[in-house]
Amino acid sequence: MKMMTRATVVLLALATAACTNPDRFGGGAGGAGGAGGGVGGVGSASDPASPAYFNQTIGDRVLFAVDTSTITPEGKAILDGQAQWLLTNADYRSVIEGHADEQGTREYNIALGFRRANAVREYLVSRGVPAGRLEVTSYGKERPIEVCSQESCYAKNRRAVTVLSFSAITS
Amino acid sequence: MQTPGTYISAIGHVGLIGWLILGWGFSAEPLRIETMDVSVVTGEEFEAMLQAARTPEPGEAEPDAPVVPEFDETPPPAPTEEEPNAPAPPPEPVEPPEEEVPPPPPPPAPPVADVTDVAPDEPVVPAPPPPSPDVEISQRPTPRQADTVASTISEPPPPDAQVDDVVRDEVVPDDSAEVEVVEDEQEPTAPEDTTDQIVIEDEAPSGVVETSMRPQVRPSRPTPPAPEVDEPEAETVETPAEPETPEPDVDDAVAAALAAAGAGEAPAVQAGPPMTGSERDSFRVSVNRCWNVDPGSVAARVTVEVGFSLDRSGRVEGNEVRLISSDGDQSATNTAFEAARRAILRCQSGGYQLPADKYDQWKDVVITFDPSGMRLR
Amino acid sequence: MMKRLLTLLVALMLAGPVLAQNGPLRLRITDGVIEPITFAVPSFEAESPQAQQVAADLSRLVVQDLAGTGLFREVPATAFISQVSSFAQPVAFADWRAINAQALIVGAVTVSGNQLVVRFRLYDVFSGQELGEGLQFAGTTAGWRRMGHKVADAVYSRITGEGGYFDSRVVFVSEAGPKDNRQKRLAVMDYDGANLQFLTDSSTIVLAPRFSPNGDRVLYTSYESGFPRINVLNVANVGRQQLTTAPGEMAFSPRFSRDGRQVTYSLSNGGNTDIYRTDLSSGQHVRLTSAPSIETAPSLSPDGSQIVFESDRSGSQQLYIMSANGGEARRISFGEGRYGTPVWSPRGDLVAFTKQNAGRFHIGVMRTDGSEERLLTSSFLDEGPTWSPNGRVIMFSRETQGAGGTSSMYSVDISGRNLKAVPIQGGASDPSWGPLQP
Repeated sequence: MKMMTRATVVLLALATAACTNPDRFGGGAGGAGGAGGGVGGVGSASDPASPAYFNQTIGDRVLFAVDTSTITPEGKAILDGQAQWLLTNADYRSVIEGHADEQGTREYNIALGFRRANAVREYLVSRGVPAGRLEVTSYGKERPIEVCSQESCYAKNRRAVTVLSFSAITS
Repeated sequence: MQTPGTYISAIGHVGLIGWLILGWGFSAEPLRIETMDVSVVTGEEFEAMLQAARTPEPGEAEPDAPVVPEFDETPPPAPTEEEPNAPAPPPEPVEPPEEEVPPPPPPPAPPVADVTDVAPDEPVVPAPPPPSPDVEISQRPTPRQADTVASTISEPPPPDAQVDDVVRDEVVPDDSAEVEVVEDEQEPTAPEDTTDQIVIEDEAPSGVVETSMRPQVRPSRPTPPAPEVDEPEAETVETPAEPETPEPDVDDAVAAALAAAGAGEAPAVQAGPPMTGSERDSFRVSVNRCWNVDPGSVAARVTVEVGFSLDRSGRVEGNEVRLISSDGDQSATNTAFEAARRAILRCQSGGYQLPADKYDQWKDVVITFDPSGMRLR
Repeated sequence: MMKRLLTLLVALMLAGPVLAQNGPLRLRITDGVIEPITFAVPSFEAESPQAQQVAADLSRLVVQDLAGTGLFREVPATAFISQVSSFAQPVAFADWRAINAQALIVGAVTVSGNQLVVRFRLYDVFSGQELGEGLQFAGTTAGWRRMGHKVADAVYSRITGEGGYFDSRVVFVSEAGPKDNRQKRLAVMDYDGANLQFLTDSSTIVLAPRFSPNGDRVLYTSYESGFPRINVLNVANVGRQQLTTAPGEMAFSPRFSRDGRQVTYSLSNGGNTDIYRTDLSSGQHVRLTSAPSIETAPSLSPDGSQIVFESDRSGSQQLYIMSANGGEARRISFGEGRYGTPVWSPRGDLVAFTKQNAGRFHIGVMRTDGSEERLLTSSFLDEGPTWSPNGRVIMFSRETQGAGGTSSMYSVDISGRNLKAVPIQGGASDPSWGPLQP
């Protein structure tokens, strides 16, 4: 069963990569706006070992207050779950993507997104996840998932998303 | 990270990019930057080149001389055509032809239209040209100055109440029906300093601008504060005009001094009636409404002094205006000078309206164009 | 005592002028008007039959360039009293004065094969003098727009005493698609939006291109790898390569040094963003800041000695200036709100910036010591100013609000006047104004 899952993941990854591009989210097809790109949606949410479970049941993202990179209590709860999952499923690596809302200049928001991603990475490492399995990047305000220009949307865009990728190398 | 997918993707992309570059669009002619020999030809060369094509003509328009004649002779008023220019704020009625005629219709508030373009309220300088000693004339300046005063106060209010007076005085000159000649002369001297200071203070509060999109352009630049002192000249009578503004009591001493001075000086005045304050003001106004300042330019930081002579009809002799002094570098000075020259020549129309019986007083003129109060802030 | 002194003073002041009565009449003028200078451009003379169209187009372009600055206003041909039938013919100044044209531009165009020659002269109508000497530009017919821009630049320069900016290009990000799936690609255009050409496809996010001082290369940030990295693109052949930066995961916000040999940029590592400089030929890196705060958007002074950048070391985004080699920085922005993306003006006297305050974005300028701050624009989202080569105009991005929001580029005179959209199709952002072309 596990083999099947892996095979599926690889196939999907191939398909996705092939028709989009090196930048997973550039084409907007597989990346879903940076909201859980990579192997997101693979498997069943009811299978604790599946990325779908990670993304949907545990939660692949944490949100931030305006112009901050402090992990909230709710965020910590989610990250605790992520850390647990990552420790259990050692075949996966992840790239943590930091994002910002549109209320800010482009450069600053990239730097701010990086701060957010790094805050998540440090938290996960503090929970025992090997640092080598976690990379960070930031899209600043380039990849919002909500498009309205109101706080309700901004709140969802100020996020750090843990994007899983399957890696045979680490297992 | 190095999954097969990545490789496949990479290969796919290389292919795609390659296709894009080779088979499509920009690759073929990437930014074609037309190499054009932009050759700069010197004056002589250029002339030489033109020789061929050119019919034997006298020197092209370079020399003023030829120009002048045309100017005078061509009486094409064609006022109609001008209209199309609509917004032409300046003296459109420029009809070279009628010189002598002291056109009374001169400055009737030039189309203030231009102001519109400029969001910032351009101080509509519709100068009420009436040379007649109307108190009203100075109105336009008055408002501005008022602003200035206000700002000044808000800031570091100058020491004495005097300051106020000074400011108003400025206004006064414009308004005052008849101020003595003396006044004018002084303007260039001491009084100006006062003005500048005030201006600077105004500038300081630049922070205010934050709110407004546009710079509040020139807050009324306090013009040459004509110290009242001058007024007292020969004609005591006029003195009252000056004080128009509430210039009351402030200084009995000064008043007394002025009175005394006036009395004593009167005799000293040269033969020939001196120009009155309003005569000077109307002259000044008729020039400054053609003086176009570009606050964003480097030239707007340069003050130039230019001189010219007028013939009895009030027209610039030989259309010649010369630069006397400047406080800027050459390029900026040149630009500032050309703007000043344009103002003088453009607004002369058929000749500046000046009192014929005082020709000796205005035969030679020196004007200082100081844009420091019009800078962006 | 006081009174006596005053009296004496007054008496002296009065006496001076009176005694000098024989001198010229002296006036001081401090109040001018702010209005466009009027000019007339009779259609350039076509000296060969094939030149007809180009002559007409070229004349119109000169008019567009000049009038587009907001500093000049065209006197329409319908108002002309006399026509200029020949370039060599003497100018009837009175006819131009009568319609209040302050400047007159006459020109002639010759076409032979694909070769185009343009000549022109500029006159100050009221003084009846020619400003400068006649000039001639030679090129190909395909490059006629550049020739027109050249003529307009020369006219602009002679009248204003400052350099022009019409014969210049702008590199920017062309955008398409909704906010949550925006496609971005690099493109270049003439300053007026003409001759649009793409430099990359839209397969990956590209941001903030920056022209090199001579316009031959473009630095930009690309997400090709999933991480922001700096690329250098050769404009002539569209070849590109990744900049070798100091070790780190993310590099962005690059700018060339004035000599084009070095790149100053931001590098993020471990959650911290600092400013670095890399020498393009030696590949050596220098770290210029080392604060735990965000330091980004570096921009060098024209003489290369200083860098203005933004930092949130004080708790919010503000502008700072430091030596080009790093070290102590002094804060120059003190107004309310946040300040970012500073750009040093080519003239060296001003810094343009983006300001956020009370829910609005502004483009503004301040002197390099932080004084005389002036905001030039205000909108839901304005950002990323870039200077025209002569330091007179600022172009920037403006994004509109809401789900259907789009980005476009605008320009504004540093006086705050003449705000207008750059006329190009589709969305556009992150303009970088290149140099005046040779």
